[in-house]
Amino acid sequence: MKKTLYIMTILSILLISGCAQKKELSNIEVDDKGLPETLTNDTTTNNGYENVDLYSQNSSTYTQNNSYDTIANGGIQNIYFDVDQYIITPEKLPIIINNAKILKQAIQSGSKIKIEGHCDATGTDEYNYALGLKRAKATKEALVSSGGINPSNIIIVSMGESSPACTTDYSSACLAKNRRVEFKIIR
Amino acid sequence: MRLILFFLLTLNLFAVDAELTIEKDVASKASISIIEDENSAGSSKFHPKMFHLLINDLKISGHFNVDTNYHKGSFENVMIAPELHDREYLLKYSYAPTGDKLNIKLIQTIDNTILLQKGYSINSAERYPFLAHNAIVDINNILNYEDISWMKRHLIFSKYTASRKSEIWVADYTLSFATVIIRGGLNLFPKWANQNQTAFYYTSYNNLLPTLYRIDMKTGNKTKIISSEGMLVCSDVSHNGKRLLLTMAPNGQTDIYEYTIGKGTKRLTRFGGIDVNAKYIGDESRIVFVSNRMGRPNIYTKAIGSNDVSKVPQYGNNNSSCDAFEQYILYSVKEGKAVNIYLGSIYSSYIRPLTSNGINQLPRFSNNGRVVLYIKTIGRKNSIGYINLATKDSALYPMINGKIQSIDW
Repeated sequence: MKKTLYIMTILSILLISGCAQKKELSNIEVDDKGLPETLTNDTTTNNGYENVDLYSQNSSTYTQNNSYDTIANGGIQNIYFDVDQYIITPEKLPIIINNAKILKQAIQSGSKIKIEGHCDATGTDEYNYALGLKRAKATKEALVSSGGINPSNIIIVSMGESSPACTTDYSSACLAKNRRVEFKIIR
Repeated sequence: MRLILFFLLTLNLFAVDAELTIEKDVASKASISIIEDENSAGSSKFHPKMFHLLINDLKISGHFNVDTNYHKGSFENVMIAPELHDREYLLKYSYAPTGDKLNIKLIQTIDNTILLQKGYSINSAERYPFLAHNAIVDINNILNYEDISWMKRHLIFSKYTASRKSEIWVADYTLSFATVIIRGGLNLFPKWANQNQTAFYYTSYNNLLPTLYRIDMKTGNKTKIISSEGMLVCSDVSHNGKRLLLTMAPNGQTDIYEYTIGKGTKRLTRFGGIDVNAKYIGDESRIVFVSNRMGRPNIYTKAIGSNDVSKVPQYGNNNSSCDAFEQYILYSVKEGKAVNIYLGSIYSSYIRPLTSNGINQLPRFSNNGRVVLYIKTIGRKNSIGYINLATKDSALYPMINGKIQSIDW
């Protein structure tokens, strides 16, 4: 009996101490330093009106262009991946080796190789950019180890889901075409 | 011993609920009607839109029962139409034909007191929504309701327009005003650089290496911050604007870095897989981030300067997007074909689902943590959604075209 009471006492203490504190989001103080100030070009009244425009002029538009050229790369094949995968499996190695032969010729003429990693549109873009980069990096490593290309001639970049090869629908077959790496020859 | 045990057992009956209480009891919302000045009604193409903006702003604030009927009347005359006597407040407004000025009066009907009378102007009529948003924020403040200043903030987002092309846009929260500010090539992951929204960061893919730039919206200056092979994202900025959380891959390996302006970068994570999407939490000495270190993307936390990483309590096992405010986190959970947003805490197992269908991603807290923004995708259509966490009021604003790639507000 005493042992039973002792055990129940211990359990009760554990139960009370395990309960989380009740918090109300509405009672949590907000750091005033985080609250924005609305800047206007004139915060004082202007003929009785408060100017609430954040920007004093019509906003500018910047137009950019690519700073490098891409050369057509006939004969080079893409490599495709399963969902969430980025490993170069053995059956992909013949493609790597064949691509390496073509790419070596381009390198000899002074070009560099850019490997782009791509993803399908499932998941958020930032994660997909990282996944695309894993694919590009794995491909680079395979080109170096199996294709004999000097890694200093290869740049890798992730394109995430920005450049889908298939946009007709969201079928598995269509999405599979987007999970790939592409090889670009650049000057 | 028996008495002690009895006492402890009795205490358990009144133990506090382990869940965080998010919902605030809103016992009653104030009733309000809107009256447009009959002398200026319909005098510009923006006039019908202004009425609906005011209605929707009042609704999403969560503090008002809004009469959605359109009323016209005298802006100056103090008489109140009989059918409006049962309303607690009247909002009279006079919107200038030029579209760039708005006058309001907030009247307490019980004694005909004018609680607020104010005029607002904007430099360009196309930015007219900010007249309404600022007016409703001031009305809210004069009535001592909870802060809704998030309403007058600018959204900044990137959207894909074609293969390898994306533009960066600035808009009001309803998308009634939206303008492109960067086009040409691939421009991604815009992030406000400061609380005042006078500058922003973004990643350009138009150079050989992804490059992070800072644009000052007031001066037009464009400054290169850093380049990185592979990928480069600014995922968060500290409150004082001096520290950035970056996802970089200088050696082809994606990790989280902290960039201090004027000092350089410090690597925060070292993991051979994927670490992305870091956010400051609490006093900004800790971060939460998305990692696949257990095979699938999930949310983790660590103190800056420490190597210890722990998984944040969360629902689901495939969570690839997160935002943080104080100790609270938002994240997207893949559930079959749907992706839904959940609210949680890094210090408890509290979980609250916020959406229930479609693809819902990129959740973002408002600047005061009371409202959640998210992107809803159904089919090929994007909408920007808002949820008031306290009152559960919600709104959805569709995008006309393009797919949103990243968003900040």
